[in-house]
Amino acid sequence: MPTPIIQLIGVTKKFGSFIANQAIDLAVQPSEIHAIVGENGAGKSTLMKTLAGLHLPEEGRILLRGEEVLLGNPEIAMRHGIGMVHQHFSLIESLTVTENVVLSNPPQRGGVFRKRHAEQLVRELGDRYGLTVDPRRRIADCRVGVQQRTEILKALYRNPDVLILDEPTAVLTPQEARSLMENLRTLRDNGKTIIFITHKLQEVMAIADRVTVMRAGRIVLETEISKTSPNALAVAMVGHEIHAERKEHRPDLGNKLLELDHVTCSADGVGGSSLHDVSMTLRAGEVLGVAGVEGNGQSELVEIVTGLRLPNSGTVRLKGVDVTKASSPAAMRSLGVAHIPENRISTGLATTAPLMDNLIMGVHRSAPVARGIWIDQDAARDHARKLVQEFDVRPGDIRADAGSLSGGNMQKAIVARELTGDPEIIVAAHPTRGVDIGAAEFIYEQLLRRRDKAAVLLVSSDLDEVLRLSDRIVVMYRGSVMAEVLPQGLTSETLGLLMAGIKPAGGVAAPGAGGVA
Amino acid sequence: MEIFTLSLIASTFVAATPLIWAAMGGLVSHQAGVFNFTLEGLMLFGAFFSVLFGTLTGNVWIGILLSGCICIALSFVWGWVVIDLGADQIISALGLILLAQGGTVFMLNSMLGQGGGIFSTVQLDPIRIPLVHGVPVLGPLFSNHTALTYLSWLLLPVFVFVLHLTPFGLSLRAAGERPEAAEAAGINVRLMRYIAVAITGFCCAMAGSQLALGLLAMFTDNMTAGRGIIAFAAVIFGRHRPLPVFLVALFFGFAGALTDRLQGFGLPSELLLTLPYVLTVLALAAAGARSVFKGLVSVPSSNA
Amino acid sequence: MPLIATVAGLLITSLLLLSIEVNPLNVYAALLRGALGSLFGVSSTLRWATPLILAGLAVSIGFKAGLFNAGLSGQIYVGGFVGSLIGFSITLPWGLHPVAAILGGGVAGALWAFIPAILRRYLGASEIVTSLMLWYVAIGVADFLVRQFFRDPTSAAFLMSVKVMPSAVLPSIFPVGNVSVMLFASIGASLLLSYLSARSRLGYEVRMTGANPRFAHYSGVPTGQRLVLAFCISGFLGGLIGASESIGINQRFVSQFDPGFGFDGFLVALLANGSLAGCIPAGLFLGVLKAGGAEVERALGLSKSIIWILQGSIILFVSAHRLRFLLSRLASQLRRARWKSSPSR
Repeated sequence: MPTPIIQLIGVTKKFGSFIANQAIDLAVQPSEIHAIVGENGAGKSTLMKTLAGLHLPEEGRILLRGEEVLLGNPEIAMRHGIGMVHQHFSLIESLTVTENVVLSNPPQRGGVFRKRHAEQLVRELGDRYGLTVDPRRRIADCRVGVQQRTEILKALYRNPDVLILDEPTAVLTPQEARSLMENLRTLRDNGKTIIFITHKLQEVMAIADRVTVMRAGRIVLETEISKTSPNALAVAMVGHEIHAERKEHRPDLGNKLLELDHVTCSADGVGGSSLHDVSMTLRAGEVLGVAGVEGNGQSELVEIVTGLRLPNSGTVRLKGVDVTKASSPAAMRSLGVAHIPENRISTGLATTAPLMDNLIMGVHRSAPVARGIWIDQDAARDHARKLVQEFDVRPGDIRADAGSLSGGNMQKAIVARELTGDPEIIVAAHPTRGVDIGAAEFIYEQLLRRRDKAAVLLVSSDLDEVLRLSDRIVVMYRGSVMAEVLPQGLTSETLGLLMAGIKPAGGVAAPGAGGVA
Repeated sequence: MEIFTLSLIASTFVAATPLIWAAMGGLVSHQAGVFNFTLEGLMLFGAFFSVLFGTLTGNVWIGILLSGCICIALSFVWGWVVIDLGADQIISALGLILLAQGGTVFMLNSMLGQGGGIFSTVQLDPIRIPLVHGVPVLGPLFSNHTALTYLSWLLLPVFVFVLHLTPFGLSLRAAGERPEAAEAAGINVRLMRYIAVAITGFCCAMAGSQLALGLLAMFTDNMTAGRGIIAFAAVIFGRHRPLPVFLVALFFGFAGALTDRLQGFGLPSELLLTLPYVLTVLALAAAGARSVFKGLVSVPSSNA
Repeated sequence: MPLIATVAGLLITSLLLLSIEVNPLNVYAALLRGALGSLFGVSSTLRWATPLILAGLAVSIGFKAGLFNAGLSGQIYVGGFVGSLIGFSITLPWGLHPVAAILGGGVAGALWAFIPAILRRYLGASEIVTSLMLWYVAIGVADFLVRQFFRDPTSAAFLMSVKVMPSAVLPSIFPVGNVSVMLFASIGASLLLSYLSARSRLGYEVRMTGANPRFAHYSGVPTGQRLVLAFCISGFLGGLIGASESIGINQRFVSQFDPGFGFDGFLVALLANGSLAGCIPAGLFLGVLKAGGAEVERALGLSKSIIWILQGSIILFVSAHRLRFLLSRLASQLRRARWKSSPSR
């Protein structure tokens, strides 16, 4: 075997006490397409950012073409011939394709930008690798696929040997994704080494030469593509030990609390996915898990249910009443919908306000905290103290700013607030993300306890969480419900394939009750 | 006497000159991502220093250039406060405007022992364009303006060229639109912003010089009288793009000239003077309407 | 932060004074003497503090909701016009007339603020720019109406309206000077709004809207309504300033009567550092500067402009939140330098 172009030996990257990458050994051969797959949070992006000079690892060595290097910043990585295309584009919308591509080093003569020459360069670069773009078009007027090609050209303009792409197909249409796959092959055939991160096993099988599977910060499988199968990759991705201590499925379901009927909504710009003809029913007494790789419409689903977004078509019924038109966060909350939002800092809390003010949000509308037009200070304090105690929020100083709490304690404060007042429908989006195990266990316990009286819509990309809590699971893929399954007898393999958009050959266990409406 | 005459257009050019200088200067800051509301203050400083140095040196151009240097220095101070010290751009700009009003009067009193105003011993003379001057229509329109007026017309092509056709212009616009992307491309965003506020400072000095030396050959207390705000409105209204900003500034100049004319007829000018401001409000409302009708449920954004 | 900025402002002003060979201490002494050294001085301080407290309050209310009322001056102007209009055009019993004029001015200010508020709420247009532009519109419209219909024909040089009815004049409650009952109104408004903000449900929702609008929106707070409400209260306070200046101090509408209270309001609010009740001491502080300026002019032959310079340099630095880090870094470097140079170590 030739010398690997990139070799990682024992690379470990920590964020505080959290180990994102643990003792990673990885070798990438020149002129191969190397896929890195894994669930959200498996450490793929962290590893690639380390290679691109964005993170400095705590331990381990990085060898390029057999020589050890220190990749202190992106500029150094670039000089060593490593270019990266990030998942979120960093293009300047008012500039043209050409101007974006050459921004780092515009061709010039006597201080004047040689626009024609640059356009010619970009056209040639595009032709060589099959990345067709209109060099004169402004980015704002380009489709997402073209924007991505521009990003790739921007990296290629600096003539790298290794090109890293972070989930390049996440925002593309199937057609655009297919043409990107072609481009990657062309690049490889021109001698470039490609590393790309993805969730989509079909893509891996289609174009990769080798694949590395990561889970929980470690590499669990590295193999040639010809020696593996989608099923084997799915098992490696999800792991085996997921049936641990799941609760019994409860057949005694109550009334239909929430019904979505053929709900469709359109995307709002780059990266936002749309919902396509989504129908589901949520009954009292159950936890409905929504599984799927992030960005497949889960956020939009949550926004519709909580009144933050209006569907383009279809109906939303709450306790049998059509609320499609009347929906707003205030209306949905008054009808008994609680919302644990996915981003605690930007939407879950006011970090510059005292913890007390954060905890009484919602209850400030009704007695005893509300007293006429006033807020009863004693009642508010008592309420806040009670929540702090019950949910063990630390440190429990209710006068301190919410922003001074740790992530886990912020999350506990949000859960405490949202579960107050016995809501009938609890929408929990990634309720334990970035939370330590103890706090997560506690939040699970609280959610399951509420299930007796309420219905829980649990959105999570953490499969363990979904399998453990859910009575029923819907899998979302590209804005649609891929399948609805029962957790009993569900294998990780099946779930992994469904999340990757593949219907398993043998069919899946369809739920008896509820079901897709 | 008619209202709409050739001389109305000629006086439009005169009234528009300071507005064009200040607005074109201001748009450079906005292009670089600095919300620059200091125009009024810098213009006032520029007017004062051009008279001061013009009188001291006896040379009008040395006076103007020194005034430009001082305004660049003042812009750097403000730039340091907002770029490096992280101050609120509007609040600190209000501070600079107040400093200009207080500072010019203070210097007038303490250095020159004058109150209210000071006459300049030099002034910008109108230039007769040789061939054009005698020609009917063209002569009265385009001849007999000051050099700063002619230079202000050059700003449009120069700025379009620099912003769009030089690597520097690309970097500046990138730094303004997506600083993190610009940093990733190796552009020094901080430097770009300092250069941009310096350009704004210089242009505002020219605006002030035209006001003080081109029209009256004197400096009076608070002589800009809100022209910097109008120029700022032109930057906002023209969405900090050179051609629209230039045209808007020219139009605001026309509104000013027309107001003067109407006043000559004993007509109330106050309402007409509000035109630039009303238009800016309408433009902002229209721009907002465009984005709202994309069908999004609007979530208020924080501007704190 | 306000303290650091004030020190920086005093430093800059002192340097300027030294540059023209004036002892800054003499100036500051004259300032204090002029503002507090006599009954007239005190009354003058209180006269200025009255509108300044209200202006600071108006700006602070905006800050609470995350809004920036750059056009407070416009609301003041409109309030001044409507206040004096009520003062000279209708007859009301003594006692009721000033109240009607001042409240009318307040409502006019609130309505003027309503325009940028709804543009912000429904169209997302920056209230900073629209309200600022509407200031100039206010000047144009009010001056136009006064010139056309209400001009005092005896005054040729200045544009001013006819005098308000004697019943509408807001009397001075001090033996000297021009201190009106509005002083108590402004202090009362500070305390009342401070209490409402801290204790009422509406105040809570406004504060939450300002602290994190997305969080408030997600939590079902009608954030749009709260923004409009806060901005209109801000405009109402501005209108009160205009009306009370008109019927109290000038006893008529005078063109360009506002000496910059709109901008002074920012300084007061920033010095009060987010506290509504804090506008009272901050307004008094700025009142001292305004009142003492006259004594500085008289005793030292310096122009009042030195006060503007002081104010301007405080405002320039007051929001520079990284200044503190810079200073502490500088301090630690100095300490380290001294440590190194110290021979005993």
